[in-house]
Amino acid sequence: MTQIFYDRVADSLIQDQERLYRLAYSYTYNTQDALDIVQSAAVKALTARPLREPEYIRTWVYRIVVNTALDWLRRNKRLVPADDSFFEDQDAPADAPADMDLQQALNRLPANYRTVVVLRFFEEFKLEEIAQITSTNVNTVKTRLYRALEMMRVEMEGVEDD
Amino acid sequence: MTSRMQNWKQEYDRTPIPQELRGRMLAVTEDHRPAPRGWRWAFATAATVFAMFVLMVNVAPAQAAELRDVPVLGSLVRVFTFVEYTSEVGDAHVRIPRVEGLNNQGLEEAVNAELLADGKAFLAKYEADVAELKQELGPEAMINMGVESFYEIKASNAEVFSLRVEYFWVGGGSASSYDFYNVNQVTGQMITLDSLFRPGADYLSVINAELLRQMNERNAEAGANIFWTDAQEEFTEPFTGITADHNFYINPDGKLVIAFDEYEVGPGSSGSPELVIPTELLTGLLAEGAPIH
Repeated sequence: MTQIFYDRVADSLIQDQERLYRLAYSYTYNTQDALDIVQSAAVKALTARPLREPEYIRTWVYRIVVNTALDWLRRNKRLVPADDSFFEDQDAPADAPADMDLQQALNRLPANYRTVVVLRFFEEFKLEEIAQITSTNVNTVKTRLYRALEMMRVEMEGVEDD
Repeated sequence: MTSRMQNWKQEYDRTPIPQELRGRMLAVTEDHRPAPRGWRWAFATAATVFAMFVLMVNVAPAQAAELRDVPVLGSLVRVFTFVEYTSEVGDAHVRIPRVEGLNNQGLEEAVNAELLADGKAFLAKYEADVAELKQELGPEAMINMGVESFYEIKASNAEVFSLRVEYFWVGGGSASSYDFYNVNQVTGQMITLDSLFRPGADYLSVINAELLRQMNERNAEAGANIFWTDAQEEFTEPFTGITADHNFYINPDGKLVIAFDEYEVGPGSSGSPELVIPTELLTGLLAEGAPIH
Protein backbone atom coordinates (compact mmCIF):
# COMPACT_ATOMS: atom_id res chain seq x y z
CA MET A 1 0.00 0.00 0.00
CA THR A 2 2.17 2.85 -1.08
CA GLN A 3 1.14 4.31 -4.39
CA ILE A 4 -2.60 3.98 -4.02
CA PHE A 5 -2.54 5.41 -0.51
CA TYR A 6 -0.32 8.26 -1.62
CA ASP A 7 -2.60 8.98 -4.58
CA ARG A 8 -5.71 9.08 -2.41
CA VAL A 9 -4.15 11.32 0.21
CA ALA A 10 -2.75 13.63 -2.48
CA ASP A 11 -6.16 13.76 -4.24
CA SER A 12 -7.90 14.54 -0.98
CA LEU A 13 -5.40 17.31 -0.18
CA ILE A 14 -5.65 18.89 -3.61
CA GLN A 15 -9.41 18.62 -3.77
CA ASP A 16 -9.99 20.05 -0.30
CA GLN A 17 -7.11 22.51 -0.28
CA GLU A 18 -9.26 25.64 -0.05
CA ARG A 19 -11.49 24.18 2.63
CA LEU A 20 -8.49 23.00 4.63
CA TYR A 21 -6.95 26.44 4.30
CA ARG A 22 -10.14 28.15 5.55
CA LEU A 23 -10.25 25.75 8.46
CA ALA A 24 -6.63 26.50 9.38
CA TYR A 25 -7.24 30.22 8.91
CA SER A 26 -10.16 30.08 11.38
CA TYR A 27 -7.56 29.29 14.07
CA THR A 28 -4.81 31.68 13.04
CA TYR A 29 -6.47 34.62 11.30
CA ASN A 30 -3.13 34.98 9.63
CA THR A 31 -2.39 33.95 6.04
CA GLN A 32 1.19 32.72 6.45
CA ASP A 33 0.47 30.72 9.60
CA ALA A 34 -2.57 29.12 7.97
CA LEU A 35 -0.52 28.20 4.90
CA ASP A 36 2.18 26.71 7.12
CA ILE A 37 -0.37 24.64 9.03
CA VAL A 38 -1.91 23.24 5.85
CA GLN A 39 1.51 22.49 4.40
CA SER A 40 2.85 20.79 7.49
CA ALA A 41 -0.38 18.78 7.86
CA ALA A 42 -0.04 17.73 4.21
CA VAL A 43 3.48 16.47 4.83
CA LYS A 44 2.30 14.48 7.85
CA ALA A 45 -0.52 12.93 5.84
CA LEU A 46 1.65 12.10 2.83
CA THR A 47 4.36 10.48 4.93
CA ALA A 48 2.11 8.58 7.33
CA ARG A 49 1.82 4.86 7.53
CA PRO A 50 -1.03 3.87 5.19
CA LEU A 51 -4.47 3.66 6.80
CA ARG A 52 -6.20 0.31 6.89
CA GLU A 53 -9.51 1.89 5.97
CA PRO A 54 -9.00 4.25 3.06
CA GLU A 55 -12.62 5.44 3.15
CA TYR A 56 -11.69 7.52 6.17
CA ILE A 57 -8.93 9.40 4.38
CA ARG A 58 -10.90 12.62 4.08
CA THR A 59 -11.87 12.94 7.75
CA TRP A 60 -8.39 11.74 8.70
CA VAL A 61 -6.81 14.55 6.65
CA TYR A 62 -9.11 17.01 8.43
CA ARG A 63 -8.06 15.53 11.74
CA ILE A 64 -4.41 16.12 10.94
CA VAL A 65 -5.13 19.74 9.96
CA VAL A 66 -7.16 20.29 13.15
CA ASN A 67 -4.44 18.75 15.34
CA THR A 68 -1.75 20.77 13.62
CA ALA A 69 -3.80 23.93 14.12
CA LEU A 70 -4.38 23.07 17.79
CA ASP A 71 -0.62 22.56 18.22
CA TRP A 72 -0.09 25.94 16.66
CA LEU A 73 -2.58 27.48 19.10
CA ARG A 74 -0.86 25.85 22.06
CA ARG A 75 2.53 27.03 20.91
CA ASN A 76 1.23 30.51 20.39
CA LYS A 77 -0.62 30.39 23.72
CA ARG A 78 -3.68 32.04 22.27
CA LEU A 79 -6.00 29.61 23.94
CA VAL A 80 -5.75 26.53 26.05
CA PRO A 81 -8.09 23.66 25.31
CA ALA A 82 -10.59 23.32 28.12
CA ASP A 83 -12.03 20.05 29.26
CA ASP A 84 -15.77 19.71 29.14
CA SER A 85 -16.34 20.37 32.83
CA PHE A 86 -14.59 23.72 32.78
CA PHE A 87 -17.66 25.68 31.78
CA GLU A 88 -20.17 23.57 33.69
CA ASP A 89 -20.90 26.16 36.35
CA GLN A 90 -20.30 29.27 34.38
CA ASP A 91 -22.81 31.39 32.60
CA ALA A 92 -21.98 32.75 29.20
CA PRO A 93 -19.83 35.82 29.52
CA ALA A 94 -22.09 38.79 30.03
CA ASP A 95 -20.25 41.11 27.74
CA ALA A 96 -20.81 39.29 24.46
CA PRO A 97 -21.47 42.07 22.01
CA ALA A 98 -24.37 41.59 19.64
CA ASP A 99 -22.30 42.44 16.58
CA MET A 100 -19.29 40.19 17.18
CA ASP A 101 -17.55 39.21 13.99
CA LEU A 102 -16.57 35.60 13.45
CA GLN A 103 -13.03 36.01 14.70
CA GLN A 104 -14.21 37.56 17.95
CA ALA A 105 -16.86 34.91 18.37
CA LEU A 106 -14.40 32.04 17.81
CA ASN A 107 -11.77 33.60 20.03
CA ARG A 108 -14.21 33.46 22.94
CA LEU A 109 -14.21 29.70 22.69
CA PRO A 110 -11.82 27.12 24.08
CA ALA A 111 -9.94 25.38 21.30
CA ASN A 112 -12.01 22.17 21.36
CA TYR A 113 -15.20 24.14 21.06
CA ARG A 114 -14.15 26.31 18.16
CA THR A 115 -13.16 23.16 16.30
CA VAL A 116 -16.62 21.60 16.53
CA VAL A 117 -18.35 24.88 15.68
CA VAL A 118 -16.30 25.39 12.53
CA LEU A 119 -16.65 21.77 11.44
CA ARG A 120 -20.39 21.71 12.11
CA PHE A 121 -21.67 25.07 10.93
CA PHE A 122 -19.11 26.15 8.34
CA GLU A 123 -17.61 22.93 6.99
CA GLU A 124 -21.01 21.24 7.45
CA PHE A 125 -19.81 17.85 8.59
CA LYS A 126 -22.11 15.27 10.13
CA LEU A 127 -21.83 14.71 13.87
CA GLU A 128 -20.34 11.25 13.29
CA GLU A 129 -17.66 12.73 11.03
CA ILE A 130 -16.84 15.43 13.57
CA ALA A 131 -16.48 12.73 16.20
CA GLN A 132 -13.97 10.98 13.92
CA ILE A 133 -12.06 14.16 13.20
CA THR A 134 -11.84 15.15 16.85
CA SER A 135 -11.32 11.59 18.15
CA THR A 136 -14.34 11.78 20.45
CA ASN A 137 -17.89 10.49 20.33
CA VAL A 138 -21.10 12.00 19.04
CA ASN A 139 -22.37 12.89 22.52
CA THR A 140 -19.25 14.83 23.35
CA VAL A 141 -19.51 16.65 20.04
CA LYS A 142 -23.10 17.63 20.83
CA THR A 143 -22.22 18.77 24.33
CA ARG A 144 -19.42 20.92 22.99
CA LEU A 145 -21.67 22.39 20.33
CA TYR A 146 -24.38 23.34 22.82
CA ARG A 147 -21.91 24.91 25.20
CA ALA A 148 -20.17 26.72 22.36
CA LEU A 149 -23.44 28.14 21.09
CA GLU A 150 -24.27 29.29 24.58
CA MET A 151 -20.95 31.09 24.78
CA MET A 152 -21.38 32.59 21.34
CA ARG A 153 -24.84 33.71 22.36
CA VAL A 154 -26.64 32.09 19.48
CA GLU A 155 -29.87 30.13 19.45
CA MET A 156 -29.59 26.38 19.96
CA GLU A 157 -30.23 25.26 16.44
CA GLY A 158 -28.42 23.08 14.04
CA VAL A 159 -26.71 20.86 16.56
CA GLU A 160 -28.59 17.70 15.59
CA ASP A 161 -28.12 16.14 12.17
CA ASP A 162 -30.98 16.91 9.78
CA MET B 1 -29.53 27.99 11.40
CA THR B 2 -29.88 31.35 13.05
CA SER B 3 -29.23 34.47 11.04
CA ARG B 4 -26.23 35.21 13.22
CA MET B 5 -24.67 31.86 12.41
CA GLN B 6 -25.58 32.37 8.76
CA ASN B 7 -23.68 35.65 8.74
CA TRP B 8 -20.70 33.97 10.28
CA LYS B 9 -20.87 31.18 7.74
CA GLN B 10 -20.86 33.74 4.94
CA GLU B 11 -17.92 35.46 6.55
CA TYR B 12 -16.13 32.11 6.83
CA ASP B 13 -16.83 31.23 3.20
CA ARG B 14 -15.41 34.60 2.11
CA THR B 15 -12.02 33.82 3.71
CA PRO B 16 -9.64 34.95 0.97
CA ILE B 17 -7.59 32.10 -0.51
CA PRO B 18 -3.99 33.18 -1.10
CA GLN B 19 -2.61 32.59 -4.58
CA GLU B 20 0.35 30.59 -3.30
CA LEU B 21 -1.80 27.88 -1.70
CA ARG B 22 -2.13 25.96 -4.95
CA GLY B 23 1.58 26.06 -5.72
CA ARG B 24 2.54 25.00 -2.23
CA MET B 25 0.14 22.08 -2.23
CA LEU B 26 1.39 20.89 -5.61
CA ALA B 27 4.99 21.19 -4.45
CA VAL B 28 4.38 19.33 -1.21
CA THR B 29 2.54 16.46 -2.90
CA GLU B 30 5.28 16.16 -5.54
CA ASP B 31 8.05 16.22 -2.94
CA HIS B 32 6.55 13.33 -0.99
CA ARG B 33 5.69 11.03 -3.85
CA PRO B 34 6.77 7.49 -2.87
CA ALA B 35 10.16 6.44 -4.18
CA PRO B 36 9.73 5.25 -7.78
CA ARG B 37 10.17 1.58 -8.42
CA GLY B 38 12.31 0.31 -11.24
CA TRP B 39 9.74 -2.17 -12.38
CA ARG B 40 6.80 -1.25 -14.55
CA TRP B 41 3.85 -3.54 -14.33
CA ALA B 42 1.42 -4.33 -17.07
CA PHE B 43 -2.31 -4.63 -16.92
CA ALA B 44 -2.99 -8.29 -17.23
CA THR B 45 -6.11 -10.23 -17.82
CA ALA B 46 -6.97 -12.78 -15.22
CA ALA B 47 -6.44 -15.49 -17.80
CA THR B 48 -2.71 -15.17 -17.43
CA VAL B 49 -0.81 -18.30 -18.22
CA PHE B 50 2.49 -18.83 -16.57
CA ALA B 51 5.47 -20.13 -18.37
CA MET B 52 8.18 -21.65 -16.33
CA PHE B 53 11.78 -21.77 -17.34
CA VAL B 54 14.03 -24.13 -15.55
CA LEU B 55 17.55 -23.10 -16.14
CA MET B 56 20.36 -25.55 -15.97
CA VAL B 57 20.69 -27.13 -12.61
CA ASN B 58 24.16 -28.49 -12.73
CA VAL B 59 25.71 -25.73 -14.65
CA ALA B 60 29.42 -25.44 -15.24
CA PRO B 61 30.89 -22.05 -14.33
CA ALA B 62 31.78 -21.24 -17.95
CA GLN B 63 28.23 -21.89 -19.13
CA ALA B 64 26.68 -20.03 -16.26
CA ALA B 65 28.26 -16.81 -17.42
CA GLU B 66 26.40 -17.02 -20.71
CA LEU B 67 22.94 -17.26 -19.23
CA ARG B 68 20.39 -14.47 -19.15
CA ASP B 69 20.59 -12.64 -15.87
CA VAL B 70 24.29 -13.14 -15.79
CA PRO B 71 25.18 -14.79 -12.51
CA VAL B 72 26.48 -12.43 -9.88
CA LEU B 73 29.97 -13.54 -9.12
CA GLY B 74 31.36 -13.14 -5.66
CA SER B 75 34.98 -13.85 -5.01
CA LEU B 76 34.33 -17.37 -3.79
CA VAL B 77 30.63 -18.04 -3.88
CA ARG B 78 28.47 -17.99 -6.98
CA VAL B 79 24.81 -17.13 -7.05
CA PHE B 80 22.79 -17.65 -10.18
CA THR B 81 19.18 -17.81 -11.23
CA PHE B 82 18.18 -21.41 -10.80
CA VAL B 83 14.53 -21.13 -11.78
CA GLU B 84 12.85 -18.21 -13.43
CA TYR B 85 9.10 -17.83 -13.70
CA THR B 86 7.50 -15.21 -15.85
CA SER B 87 3.91 -14.73 -16.89
CA GLU B 88 2.95 -14.18 -20.52
CA VAL B 89 2.29 -10.50 -20.07
CA GLY B 90 5.02 -9.84 -17.61
CA ASP B 91 3.12 -9.30 -14.38
CA ALA B 92 5.04 -11.95 -12.48
CA HIS B 93 8.74 -12.39 -12.62
CA VAL B 94 10.21 -14.59 -9.94
CA ARG B 95 13.87 -15.50 -9.95
CA ILE B 96 14.88 -18.20 -7.55
CA PRO B 97 18.57 -17.95 -6.81
CA ARG B 98 20.90 -20.82 -6.07
CA VAL B 99 24.08 -20.49 -4.08
CA GLU B 100 27.18 -22.50 -4.86
CA GLY B 101 30.59 -22.51 -3.26
CA LEU B 102 29.79 -22.25 0.44
CA ASN B 103 32.41 -24.01 2.51
CA ASN B 104 29.74 -25.94 4.38
CA GLN B 105 28.02 -28.18 1.84
CA GLY B 106 25.19 -29.11 4.20
CA LEU B 107 24.40 -25.48 4.90
CA GLU B 108 24.49 -24.71 1.19
CA GLU B 109 21.86 -27.37 0.54
CA ALA B 110 19.68 -26.05 3.34
CA VAL B 111 19.95 -22.48 2.06
CA ASN B 112 19.11 -23.54 -1.48
CA ALA B 113 16.16 -25.61 -0.32
CA GLU B 114 14.81 -22.60 1.56
CA LEU B 115 15.36 -20.24 -1.39
CA LEU B 116 13.48 -22.63 -3.67
CA ALA B 117 10.63 -23.17 -1.21
CA ASP B 118 10.25 -19.45 -0.50
CA GLY B 119 10.30 -18.53 -4.18
CA LYS B 120 7.69 -21.14 -4.99
CA ALA B 121 5.50 -20.08 -2.07
CA PHE B 122 5.76 -16.45 -3.18
CA LEU B 123 4.61 -17.34 -6.68
CA ALA B 124 1.90 -19.69 -5.41
CA LYS B 125 0.51 -16.92 -3.21
CA TYR B 126 0.38 -14.62 -6.21
CA GLU B 127 -1.38 -17.20 -8.36
CA ALA B 128 -3.88 -17.87 -5.57
CA ASP B 129 -4.55 -14.13 -5.22
CA VAL B 130 -5.14 -13.81 -8.96
CA ALA B 131 -7.43 -16.85 -8.96
CA GLU B 132 -9.40 -15.44 -6.04
CA LEU B 133 -9.83 -12.07 -7.72
CA LYS B 134 -10.83 -13.77 -10.94
CA GLN B 135 -13.51 -15.68 -9.09
CA GLU B 136 -14.70 -12.54 -7.39
CA LEU B 137 -14.68 -10.23 -10.41
CA GLY B 138 -15.33 -12.61 -13.26
CA PRO B 139 -13.02 -14.10 -15.88
CA GLU B 140 -13.01 -10.96 -18.05
CA ALA B 141 -11.90 -8.66 -15.25
CA MET B 142 -8.68 -6.74 -15.58
CA ILE B 143 -6.43 -7.65 -12.74
CA ASN B 144 -3.75 -5.16 -11.94
CA MET B 145 -1.39 -7.06 -9.76
CA GLY B 146 2.12 -8.31 -10.10
CA VAL B 147 5.06 -9.76 -8.27
CA GLU B 148 8.76 -9.78 -8.82
CA SER B 149 11.69 -11.09 -6.87
CA PHE B 150 15.32 -10.04 -6.96
CA TYR B 151 18.50 -11.06 -5.27
CA GLU B 152 21.66 -9.22 -4.50
CA ILE B 153 24.98 -10.29 -3.03
CA LYS B 154 25.76 -7.88 -0.22
CA ALA B 155 29.17 -9.32 0.58
CA SER B 156 31.24 -12.25 -0.53
CA ASN B 157 34.75 -12.71 0.76
CA ALA B 158 36.84 -15.25 2.61
CA GLU B 159 34.99 -14.52 5.84
CA VAL B 160 31.43 -13.67 5.03
CA PHE B 161 28.78 -14.34 2.45
CA SER B 162 25.67 -12.12 2.67
CA LEU B 163 22.73 -12.42 0.29
CA ARG B 164 19.59 -10.36 0.18
CA VAL B 165 16.43 -11.62 -1.53
CA GLU B 166 13.69 -9.12 -2.24
CA TYR B 167 10.08 -10.13 -2.73
CA PHE B 168 8.21 -7.26 -4.34
CA TRP B 169 4.51 -7.10 -5.05
CA VAL B 170 2.38 -4.46 -6.62
CA GLY B 171 -1.39 -4.26 -6.61
CA GLY B 172 -2.40 -0.63 -6.70
CA GLY B 173 0.07 -0.17 -3.89
CA SER B 174 3.40 -1.86 -3.69
CA ALA B 175 5.63 -3.33 -1.03
CA SER B 176 8.82 -5.28 -0.65
CA SER B 177 9.90 -7.71 1.99
CA TYR B 178 13.43 -8.96 2.36
CA ASP B 179 15.18 -12.09 3.47
CA PHE B 180 18.84 -12.07 4.38
CA TYR B 181 21.22 -15.00 4.41
CA ASN B 182 24.48 -14.40 6.26
CA VAL B 183 27.06 -17.15 6.35
CA ASN B 184 30.35 -17.24 8.22
CA GLN B 185 32.64 -18.88 5.66
CA VAL B 186 35.31 -19.61 8.25
CA THR B 187 33.10 -21.59 10.62
CA GLY B 188 30.60 -22.65 7.97
CA GLN B 189 27.76 -21.49 10.22
CA MET B 190 24.77 -19.29 9.55
CA ILE B 191 25.29 -15.92 11.24
CA THR B 192 22.56 -14.66 13.55
CA LEU B 193 22.75 -11.38 15.43
CA ASP B 194 23.13 -13.30 18.68
CA SER B 195 26.02 -15.32 17.27
CA LEU B 196 28.02 -12.15 16.62
CA PHE B 197 28.15 -11.19 20.28
CA ARG B 198 29.40 -12.60 23.52
CA PRO B 199 26.78 -14.60 25.42
CA GLY B 200 24.74 -12.29 27.62
CA ALA B 201 26.11 -9.10 26.05
CA ASP B 202 23.41 -6.44 25.85
CA TYR B 203 24.25 -5.55 22.27
CA LEU B 204 20.64 -4.67 21.39
CA SER B 205 20.65 -1.63 23.71
CA VAL B 206 23.83 -0.36 22.07
CA ILE B 207 22.55 -0.95 18.54
CA ASN B 208 19.13 0.54 19.27
CA ALA B 209 20.59 3.66 20.85
CA GLU B 210 22.81 4.11 17.80
CA LEU B 211 19.92 3.51 15.38
CA LEU B 212 17.80 6.11 17.16
CA ARG B 213 20.71 8.55 17.22
CA GLN B 214 21.23 8.17 13.45
CA MET B 215 17.50 8.44 12.74
CA ASN B 216 17.13 11.59 14.81
CA GLU B 217 20.22 13.06 13.20
CA ARG B 218 18.89 12.39 9.70
CA ASN B 219 15.49 13.83 10.64
CA ALA B 220 17.13 16.96 11.98
CA GLU B 221 19.35 17.33 8.90
CA ALA B 222 16.41 16.90 6.56
CA GLY B 223 14.03 18.95 8.69
CA ALA B 224 11.48 16.24 8.01
CA ASN B 225 10.46 12.86 9.25
CA ILE B 226 12.62 10.48 7.27
CA PHE B 227 12.26 8.12 10.20
CA TRP B 228 9.41 7.76 12.64
CA THR B 229 11.27 8.27 15.86
CA ASP B 230 8.45 9.58 18.00
CA ALA B 231 4.70 9.43 17.93
CA GLN B 232 3.20 11.91 15.51
CA GLU B 233 -0.49 12.29 16.08
CA GLU B 234 -1.90 8.79 16.39
CA PHE B 235 -1.19 7.43 12.96
CA THR B 236 2.35 6.17 13.16
CA GLU B 237 4.10 3.92 15.57
CA PRO B 238 7.46 5.27 16.65
CA PHE B 239 10.58 3.16 16.23
CA THR B 240 11.39 1.61 19.58
CA GLY B 241 14.16 -0.77 18.65
CA ILE B 242 15.03 -3.97 16.86
CA THR B 243 14.99 -7.47 18.27
CA ALA B 244 17.54 -10.26 17.87
CA ASP B 245 15.74 -11.65 14.81
CA HIS B 246 15.87 -8.40 12.84
CA ASN B 247 17.19 -8.25 9.27
CA PHE B 248 20.88 -7.40 8.95
CA TYR B 249 23.89 -8.13 6.84
CA ILE B 250 27.61 -7.63 6.96
CA ASN B 251 28.96 -5.32 4.29
CA PRO B 252 32.25 -5.80 2.39
CA ASP B 253 34.02 -3.57 4.94
CA GLY B 254 32.99 -5.95 7.69
CA LYS B 255 30.48 -3.49 9.18
CA LEU B 256 27.19 -4.57 10.67
CA VAL B 257 24.28 -3.12 8.68
CA ILE B 258 20.74 -3.09 10.04
CA ALA B 259 18.16 -3.30 7.24
CA PHE B 260 14.55 -2.18 7.39
CA ASP B 261 11.58 -2.94 5.18
CA GLU B 262 9.65 -0.16 3.52
CA TYR B 263 7.23 1.41 6.05
CA GLU B 264 8.92 -0.33 8.94
CA VAL B 265 10.54 2.81 10.32
CA GLY B 266 9.62 5.60 7.94
CA PRO B 267 7.36 6.80 5.14
CA GLY B 268 7.34 5.22 1.70
CA SER B 269 9.41 8.10 0.40
CA SER B 270 12.27 6.90 2.62
CA GLY B 271 12.41 3.55 0.82
CA SER B 272 14.00 0.60 2.62
CA PRO B 273 16.64 2.17 4.85
CA GLU B 274 19.90 0.47 5.83
CA LEU B 275 21.90 1.85 8.74
CA VAL B 276 25.55 1.01 9.38
CA ILE B 277 26.60 0.44 13.00
CA PRO B 278 30.14 1.77 13.65
CA THR B 279 32.26 -1.14 14.86
CA GLU B 280 33.92 0.89 17.63
CA LEU B 281 30.56 0.94 19.43
CA LEU B 282 30.57 -2.86 19.51
CA THR B 283 34.08 -3.56 20.75
CA GLY B 284 33.92 -5.44 24.02
CA LEU B 285 30.60 -6.95 23.02
CA LEU B 286 31.68 -8.92 19.96
CA ALA B 287 32.15 -12.66 20.20
CA GLU B 288 35.60 -14.01 19.51
CA GLY B 289 36.09 -14.53 15.80
CA ALA B 290 33.00 -12.52 14.85
CA PRO B 291 33.51 -11.31 11.24
CA ILE B 292 32.93 -7.67 12.18
CA HIS B 293 35.73 -5.16 11.70
